[in-house]
Amino acid sequence: MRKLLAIMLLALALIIVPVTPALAATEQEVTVTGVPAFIAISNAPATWDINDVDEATGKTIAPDTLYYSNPEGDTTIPTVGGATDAECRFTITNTSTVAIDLTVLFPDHTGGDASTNSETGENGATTFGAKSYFSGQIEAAWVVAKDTGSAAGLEDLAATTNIKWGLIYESQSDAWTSGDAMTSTVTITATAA
Amino acid sequence: MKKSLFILVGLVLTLGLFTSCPAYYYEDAPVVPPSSPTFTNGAIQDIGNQPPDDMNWISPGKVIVTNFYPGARAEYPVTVHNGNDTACSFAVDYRFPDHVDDDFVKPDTEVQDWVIVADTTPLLAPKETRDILITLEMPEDADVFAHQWEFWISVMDMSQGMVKTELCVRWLVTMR
Repeated sequence: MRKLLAIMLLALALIIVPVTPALAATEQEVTVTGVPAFIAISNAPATWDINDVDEATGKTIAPDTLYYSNPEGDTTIPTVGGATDAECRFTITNTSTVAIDLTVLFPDHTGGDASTNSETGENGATTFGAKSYFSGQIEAAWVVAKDTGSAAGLEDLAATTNIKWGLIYESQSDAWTSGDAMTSTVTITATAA
Repeated sequence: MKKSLFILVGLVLTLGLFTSCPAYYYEDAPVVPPSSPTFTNGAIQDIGNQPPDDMNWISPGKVIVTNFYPGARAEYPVTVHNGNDTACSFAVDYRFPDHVDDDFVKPDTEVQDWVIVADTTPLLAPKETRDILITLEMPEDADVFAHQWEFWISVMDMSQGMVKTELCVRWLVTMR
């Protein structure tokens, strides 16, 4: 009888001991945590016709030229010591509940000469350069607006704080060949800082 | 009596074998997701100052995943609000990040195959708010390319003009 009890106890011990590693392994559970926050921005206006290009009026975009989305003139550079609100075409209305980063992407054109983004901020043959600027930023802080992978144009914009901004476009260095219109859809992305 | 005791011992030993095998298997090859993810949801409940009803917004801003490993799965919904007066189609997609947090790296290209968006083109009624489940499922045989990596979930209102706004949730993943 004692022998049997001893065998039973040994069997119970065999059950418990091998299970221990499994219990230890589950101590580090995968955890998934959502950081409470709302991300909310809107932008206006939603278009920029560079140099007021218009077939009806005959206004065009010249090659190898710098253009700014500056309400004071599309060939007028914003203040290099710090762009002013008046020099910014676009307004971001920000109702996010946390600080956000803003990133601008300027993809390759479609249609016409299909000029592509040089990704350097400078133009070249068949490539355009693009940058973004935000109100208050000095020229050195204006960030290259790439097709993908731009650095944040503005970091840590405080919650519920609006900001004005603009675009810089340097047309391709060589002459247009098609004469047809081309377009690109710019995206401004908001992420939690 | 003896017969009964022998049967009992036999049962106990058999049970012991069954329960101990998976433990050793798990130690050697952690191929089965062993536990459900822990949720700390409450993005909306925790904050009183919700954006205006007439603005598009998303929540949360960041999703933090820890102790992740090949074979594991993590889920968290993105809450999307349509602030328009009309029904709008949104695009909800995996997004390669433009920039990442300090100490984190950009993901390998295959990560996009690990992310499942429950509804990539939801049509939201005016002022509707909807949760869309995002699932991150790392294959068991995937390489751990970095200890800490980041990807984004992009939400975009498809009714916008040529200068669009995009709202992104940052997923920050830390491996075991």
